[in-house]
Amino acid sequence: MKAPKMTYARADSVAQALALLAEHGDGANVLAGGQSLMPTLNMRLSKPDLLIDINRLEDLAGISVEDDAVRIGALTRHAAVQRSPIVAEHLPLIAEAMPHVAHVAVRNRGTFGGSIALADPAAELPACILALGATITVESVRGRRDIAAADFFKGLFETERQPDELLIEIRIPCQRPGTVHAFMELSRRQGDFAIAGVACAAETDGETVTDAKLVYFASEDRPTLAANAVAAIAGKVWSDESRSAAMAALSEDLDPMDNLQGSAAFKLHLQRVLTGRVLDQAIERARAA
Amino acid sequence: MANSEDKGFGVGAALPRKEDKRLLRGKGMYVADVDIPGTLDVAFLRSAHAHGRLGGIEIPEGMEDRVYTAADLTRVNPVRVEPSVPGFKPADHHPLATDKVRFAGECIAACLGANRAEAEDLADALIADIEELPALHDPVAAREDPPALLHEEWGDNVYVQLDISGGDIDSVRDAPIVVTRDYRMNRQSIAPLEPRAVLAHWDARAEELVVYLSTQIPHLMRTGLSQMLNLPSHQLRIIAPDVGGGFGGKARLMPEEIVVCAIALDTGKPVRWLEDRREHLMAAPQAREHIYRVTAYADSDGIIQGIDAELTVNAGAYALWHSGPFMETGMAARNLTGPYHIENMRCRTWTVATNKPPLGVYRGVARPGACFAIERTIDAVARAVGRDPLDVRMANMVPAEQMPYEAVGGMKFDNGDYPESVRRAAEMVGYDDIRAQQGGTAVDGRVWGVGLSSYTEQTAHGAAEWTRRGSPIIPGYESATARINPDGTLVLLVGIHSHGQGMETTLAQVAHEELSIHPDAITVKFGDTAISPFGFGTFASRSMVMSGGAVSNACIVLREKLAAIAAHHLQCTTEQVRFADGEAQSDGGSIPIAELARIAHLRQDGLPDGVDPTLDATATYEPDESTGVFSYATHAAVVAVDPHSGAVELVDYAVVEDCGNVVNPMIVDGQIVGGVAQGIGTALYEESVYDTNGQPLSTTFADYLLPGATEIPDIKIGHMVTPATFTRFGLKGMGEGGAIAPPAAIGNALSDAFAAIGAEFNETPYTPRRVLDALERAPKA
Repeated sequence: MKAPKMTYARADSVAQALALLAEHGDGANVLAGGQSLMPTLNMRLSKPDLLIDINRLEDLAGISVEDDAVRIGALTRHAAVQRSPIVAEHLPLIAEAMPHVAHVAVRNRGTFGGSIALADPAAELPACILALGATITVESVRGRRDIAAADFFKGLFETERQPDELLIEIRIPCQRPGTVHAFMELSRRQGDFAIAGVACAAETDGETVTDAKLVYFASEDRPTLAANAVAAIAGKVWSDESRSAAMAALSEDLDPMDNLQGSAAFKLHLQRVLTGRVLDQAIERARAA
Repeated sequence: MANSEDKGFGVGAALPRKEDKRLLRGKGMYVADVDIPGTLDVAFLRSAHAHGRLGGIEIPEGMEDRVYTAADLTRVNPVRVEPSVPGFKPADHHPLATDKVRFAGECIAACLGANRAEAEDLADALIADIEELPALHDPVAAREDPPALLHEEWGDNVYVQLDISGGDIDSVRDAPIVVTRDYRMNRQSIAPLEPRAVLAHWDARAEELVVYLSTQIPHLMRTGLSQMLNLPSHQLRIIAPDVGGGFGGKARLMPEEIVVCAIALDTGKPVRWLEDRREHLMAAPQAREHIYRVTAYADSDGIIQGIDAELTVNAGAYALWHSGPFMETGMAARNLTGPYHIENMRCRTWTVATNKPPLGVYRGVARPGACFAIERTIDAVARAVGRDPLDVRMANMVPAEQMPYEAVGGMKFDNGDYPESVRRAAEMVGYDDIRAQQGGTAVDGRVWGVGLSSYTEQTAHGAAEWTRRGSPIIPGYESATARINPDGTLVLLVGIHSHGQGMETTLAQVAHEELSIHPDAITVKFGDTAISPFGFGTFASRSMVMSGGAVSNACIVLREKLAAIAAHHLQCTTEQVRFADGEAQSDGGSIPIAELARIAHLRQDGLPDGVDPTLDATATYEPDESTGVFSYATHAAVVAVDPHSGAVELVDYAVVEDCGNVVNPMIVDGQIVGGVAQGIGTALYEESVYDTNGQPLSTTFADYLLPGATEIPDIKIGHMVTPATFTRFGLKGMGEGGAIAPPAAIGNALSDAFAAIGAEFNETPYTPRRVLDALERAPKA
């Protein structure tokens, strides 16, 4: 398990990284935290001609609040996000998801932007930013553009980012008063990839769910919004009946992929269980607020 | 014995481990740390198919010198294992595939490079022409209805079929209670922290092939390599430096090791292969994969009168040197009646070949499966008669007053109080409190259960047991050289190895017990065939009893000689000399061992008549009876289960064990915890999954799940001490036991949690999927 031969370039500026990407496009891989890329290279599942190391691009790291949104630089390490008071205050959903992102050693090195750019269907952060309606900024020599999270995730490890584009930052709206969050996942061991999971951002007064974003991961080929489950409960007083309705409607939203952990039916069952629990928790939190 | 009243350093002391000074500071030296300039790395081209006919191998032009195929290994003998077991079918196992490949991951060619990456580049460029054949993955199908034959000359896919029985099972067919269950313990990897590793080079000065090898059995490996390479043993030196875990996975000779040695001989250059984790998970020896059907006949109190069983073991594609796979099945069958007083037993067994990697030996060998089968059956019988499994378990056990007791499978239990271990283990997890709580509503929405599992562990067995098994090699003794240096320090040279067992400490404790030399002045050396006398190595929970006995014997020889020299100088008889605090003492005076050593080596004029110079003794040891001494234990597990997600939390775990007298209680506790952790892996996490084409699906640690710190609860340990009557110091081996009981204890706890609906947990590992399946299938679901 040693990586194949490739050229390594350490970018000293965003401009240089973009120039290299423009030149090599698909033939290049961007190396950030390397927590997914390095094993992939070592197992020779990925054989780029060029590896562009962006770890020295400090401009891409950092967390700040601007215009009611939290800006997280693509190169911000998971550990920094987990420790951030800004994230704790304004993005409690992300703060709650962070401990589920692998293990401490991986979080020390792995980056927020890397997780978004990779778009692993079992990853927590793509689901969270989709639930929170984030905007992703990418840049190439052709210019900068913003992509809504809802348009960003296209399929299995597939995103709207073009081969010559570099992920620059993610802007996530601060949680507004009157909304609550909840996050749950099931995994074989603490820190493993989820076998089922959901990120929830809900508008509720503790009795009625006005609106909600329920985003499921470890299920479809990409993080998936459950519109039907939400429609089944929107505007209704939260009750055992509405919980059952949301769980039942989920089969219209999800068609899980089977894997080593279990069949599609097993996964749908788990997502249903989580649906009831995550909404219960959201209601409880709204009542406590 | 020397006079060491306090247990400061001798047998029984919780001496901190001598080896930790280097290991905990990262100063250990493993094969990968051996740095010989010019070493070439090997990468193997491995079969991508589980079963197929191998045609040509296409090698890129100009690369022929860097590639070895079977055709290039003309001087290497194939491995052919022929145990003395009637009906066992042998087959040639070529270290590089010749006409067929028989599992995905089998070695086809070895590629050389200046480093591993270059070697892998070359392996990637090779093309093997393989015509696929139907793959056998399920052992029952492979024996009953095979779509293909692995070794065509056999006519079937069965290494050996054996019936093991005692008493008369037909005499109990009319029993009022008849319980039949199917059990499956799935296949797993062994997964030591350090994968396999070998570096070989020809030493022209010594005229020998020096082989650095990560192994538990350096001397046996020399014997095996000598046979396969046609190289006499005096030209083979095996060095096993620090070894990062073995667990049985490094106790068999493997094809990669033979190939690397052959290339080193052929090229005259240093050559090494360091297994990576992916290779380990697809081509190293694997373990378990037992399939049982057990029928228990019992009276209406749940007292079992007979066990009738079928056992199929999936032994994989090849028989590994030296023993092959037959012992797995035989041991499981003979242990199938557990620590119980069951007079009639029949077990039909099949050891089956499939397109999976060869079965090796893994901590607990066979007994985790047997324990799982009988312990789950005990609970099933208890449920059938409406009694608590604790009561039925104790009622069926061999009581202390019946010891010694020969079990129906031929195991000669030596001593101990088995039922007491059950009582105490149950007490440690608050068995009665859990029963009371089960009546109420669980506070956290989870369902709680408690389960017990008991076993005996045959250890330190000698010639009688190994001969009975038909083993081609009889590891019935160990050897040791004790050598006192001119300054009075002591070196112990032993044929076992230590890779986590703490033998550098415990053997020093034994020597201290005999000679009173301070452990800091004692060095224990092993893992080099050039320096220690022949010994078998470390496996089968044998090293403390066997090597400890050998060290004791060698030290006693030295002690007698020291006493003779001391008596000469102290003007007394040898009987009046005793040893304490590093001195020979008599009523009239004392003389340091260091001074006696100086005399023995440097001042012959101080030796009494008839005493030869030097202090150097080699001795062997075999217990007085060679049927083994039996450690035993009961494990108690408490689980909390989320019935909606299938998640299992192990909330409490207790072990009450008896391994006779203990040399170092701290090390014994460490061995128990380590073993239990691996048993929890078998129970809840670890599984080598194959698809129906025989393709391995768990080839990284993302898919092959080992328990980590967050999955292992604090293990509570209780000790009972029944000294063995026929081993030195009254010791029993205990290294494997921890791994035996957890699958059964946790399975019983899960079944207990859902006893109300009759759900049963009879297949490991208990993944969320299997837990939910069991609940769905429950008769009263």
